[in-house]
Amino acid sequence: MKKIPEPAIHHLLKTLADGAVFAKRAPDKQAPPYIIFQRIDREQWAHINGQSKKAQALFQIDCYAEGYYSSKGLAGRAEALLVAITSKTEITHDEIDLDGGETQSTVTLAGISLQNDVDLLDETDEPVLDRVSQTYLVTFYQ
Amino acid sequence: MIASSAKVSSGSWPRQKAIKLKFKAKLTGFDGLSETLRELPTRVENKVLQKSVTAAARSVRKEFQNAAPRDEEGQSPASELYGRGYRNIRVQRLKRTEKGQKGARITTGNAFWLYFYELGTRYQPARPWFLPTFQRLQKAILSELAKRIGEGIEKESKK
Repeated sequence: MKKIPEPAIHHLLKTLADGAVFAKRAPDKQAPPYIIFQRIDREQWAHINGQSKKAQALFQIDCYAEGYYSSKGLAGRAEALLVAITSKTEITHDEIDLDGGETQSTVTLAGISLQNDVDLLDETDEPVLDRVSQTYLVTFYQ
Repeated sequence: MIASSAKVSSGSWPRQKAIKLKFKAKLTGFDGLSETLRELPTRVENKVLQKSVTAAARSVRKEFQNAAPRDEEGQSPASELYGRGYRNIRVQRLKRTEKGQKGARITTGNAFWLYFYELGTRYQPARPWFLPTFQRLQKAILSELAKRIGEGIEKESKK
């Protein structure tokens, strides 16, 4: 089975915001601060001998907090954690297998770089939250 | 060589600045025409560039409208108030640009919910539609721009 980088990103970010890291969306009434991550694109290459083992994915990582500088601080810590991956790095994470049991799995990342970030305000619910939306390019072995 | 630029933005919503995707492009291969453009009065040169940039953006407006998310079953209250999202997608000429640059904006107008689709919210995953469309059409925009500039210069030089 091909490896996907999502669990590795989740695992890396879990050390922030007291572990309040969610894929795609936050639970209702989740207290800030928290992080939402999701893959928004993926690219892979084919060689003459078949598909490359390396692939790249774009991740959107949103850091939500009450207050502009709190969200900036959280985003800064996320960035420091992620861009520190500059070479082949194995990330071991917990995984739920098909039988519902927990196993350990390893994803190998080749590098993470920040592509852009933008300050936003999320007014969809109370309290209004400051949000820093970052896009990262993640290179990984699949 | 002719340099031009275009700005593309995905609209705005209350208390929220528009997200701007800017791209600058250098078009080459206009050796003869570039000289002709320089010989034209600045007013005419500006007119040719502005018309070309706006026309290039207009040429892909339909693609953005087709790519915009839409609810086939009904309309949300916001959509009833401001009109269907894809109908809000328009091209505007940028009036304030740096010297020597001309620009056009593809805007989502009042359809602020298209912005939620693009970037997501805390309760809604991002479903980007604007940026992928823009990336897909970048080459088409540039070739349309080159074509329009060439036609514009020829037309003005014959006057």
